[in-house]
Amino acid sequence: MPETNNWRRLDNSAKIFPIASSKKYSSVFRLSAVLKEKINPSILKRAVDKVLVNLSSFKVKLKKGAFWYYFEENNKEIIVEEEKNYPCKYIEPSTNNDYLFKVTYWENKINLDIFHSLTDGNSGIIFLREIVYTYIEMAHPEDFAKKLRLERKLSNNTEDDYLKNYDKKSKGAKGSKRAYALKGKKLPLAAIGVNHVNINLKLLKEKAKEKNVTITQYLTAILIQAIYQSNYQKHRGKKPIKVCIPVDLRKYFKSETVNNFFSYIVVQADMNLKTLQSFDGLLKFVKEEFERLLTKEEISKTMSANVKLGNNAFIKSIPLFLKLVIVKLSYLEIRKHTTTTFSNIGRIGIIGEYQKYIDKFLMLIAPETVEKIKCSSCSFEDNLVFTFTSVLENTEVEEAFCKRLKEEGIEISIEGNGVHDIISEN
Amino acid sequence: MTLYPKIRSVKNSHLAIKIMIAVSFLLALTCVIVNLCTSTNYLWCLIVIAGILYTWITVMYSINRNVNIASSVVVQTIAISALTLCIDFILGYQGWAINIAIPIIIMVANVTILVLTIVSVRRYYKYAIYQLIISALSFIPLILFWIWDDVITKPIFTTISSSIAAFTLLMSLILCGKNIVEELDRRLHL
Repeated sequence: MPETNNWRRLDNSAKIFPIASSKKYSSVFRLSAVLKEKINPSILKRAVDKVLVNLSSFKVKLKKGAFWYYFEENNKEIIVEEEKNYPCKYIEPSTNNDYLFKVTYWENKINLDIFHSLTDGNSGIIFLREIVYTYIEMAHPEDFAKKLRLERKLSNNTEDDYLKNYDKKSKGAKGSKRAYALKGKKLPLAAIGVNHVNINLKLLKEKAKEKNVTITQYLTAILIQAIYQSNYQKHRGKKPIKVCIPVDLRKYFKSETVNNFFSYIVVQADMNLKTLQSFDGLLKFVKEEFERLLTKEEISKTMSANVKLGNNAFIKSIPLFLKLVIVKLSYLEIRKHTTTTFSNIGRIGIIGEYQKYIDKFLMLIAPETVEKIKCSSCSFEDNLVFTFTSVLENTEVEEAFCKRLKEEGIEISIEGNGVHDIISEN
Repeated sequence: MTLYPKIRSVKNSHLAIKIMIAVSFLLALTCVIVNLCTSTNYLWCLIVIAGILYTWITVMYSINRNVNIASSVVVQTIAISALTLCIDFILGYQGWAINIAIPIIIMVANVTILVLTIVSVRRYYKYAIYQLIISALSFIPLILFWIWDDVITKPIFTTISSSIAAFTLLMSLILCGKNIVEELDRRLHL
């Protein structure tokens, strides 16, 4: 491919990640597809190469400008290698041919680690799905010889839809206060513990329906209760437990962008209130908070406040080296305003003929020194995988979460990356 | 089937760097002690410390595989100029650094950039910003000469280096003017 000088600006959300990120705060999330067969590395490499021809917006590297970072076309070879490190680790561009995503494999699993500047979970899923489709087609040419999947129309639209949709007149959201921070001894050697809770989706749906709440509301309430019972009470917490829930803005605004286009809501549970100490009371509160915060007006308010900040003429004109210092310092404080994050990207739809090759999908978010546990979930067929990524040695929150699900009569099974097994073995 | 590989130990890839930092620190400390114990007429240990700092800048910059060659030229121009100035001051300022050494460094940097421009016109957009930085740096001695006439006492080398810098910039503008405008647009976008 000839060298060109194509470049593009970072979208409003993406701007913050390269400035705030570091080895301790990687801003990387992982999407994995577990197939029913061993991964062939050479086929996977060819599949990724082919997908990148159609999804060229991911073929970029990050460059420093005088005021902001920007993306420039990357013509280097993509590296596909066996998984060797913990998930969601900081992607060092110099060891990854400058790419901002990393494709690895382990036995039956294809991993796609993405630096959040590049895109959000929803566009990330489109990217992973294309890799999986192409891999299956290449690995089983006999099954797809006659009926090759029609070239799907893949969007390479890299418009900043934040700028298109924000409300210039919107008043800023209220300032927030610090949240309860999970306490406990951290894992040594920068390890990340992963625990996947496989949940029977049918039973979960029934239970949520019975309680008249959505699955996300139900799981959020269980998570808050797990934190309260296993960590908050033990350490006599006083500040509220705050759970940050990312929201896909494509559901609220018309958008085809492959860039980031998400916002968030924060559910704040003041656990000193008696009404929140029973599960039903907590669930009612979570439901009401979701209904209050998940309106187009409220979401637009949060989004607009962030866009206005990034669009402020004074902030824009601060040189990048100063932004790096200011943002890193302010992020030390901002991160203390949430206890944890729970991202549910929902059902991952797969074309019929391909489903028989796939076992499940996984999503993981990088935990860090302040938000020591992060949670994510996604579902495929009749299985929802709720994932805890943690830098804590103990698994009390995870255990309390699973205990509650079992008490609710929901079937679960647990898989992990062995980090917590090693700790308990020792 | 397992979902993850077992990662029982994480290699400390920075161990070599930590050892090198300790060795550098010890070397500098030994030189300071020996210098202060033997003679304090002139502080030659500062030359050693400046040399160690220069070596570290060069090593740390060079081990990064993705460094643009033109950015190395900029870093070396600044680092060697600073080193020569340091040595000149430590040895009792005679002005050879600002009068001779720095203009020669600037000449070499400009010629290197000019060669890069000529051999890779199509990839020039990669070097444009560094070309502009080197051009800006190249005129500093000349500006100093105009403002304070006692700083540069022998302006011949400064005049030659500034002329070469002006010629290099002009050549680059003629050959790759569009690239320079595009690069400025990209790097300076708000």
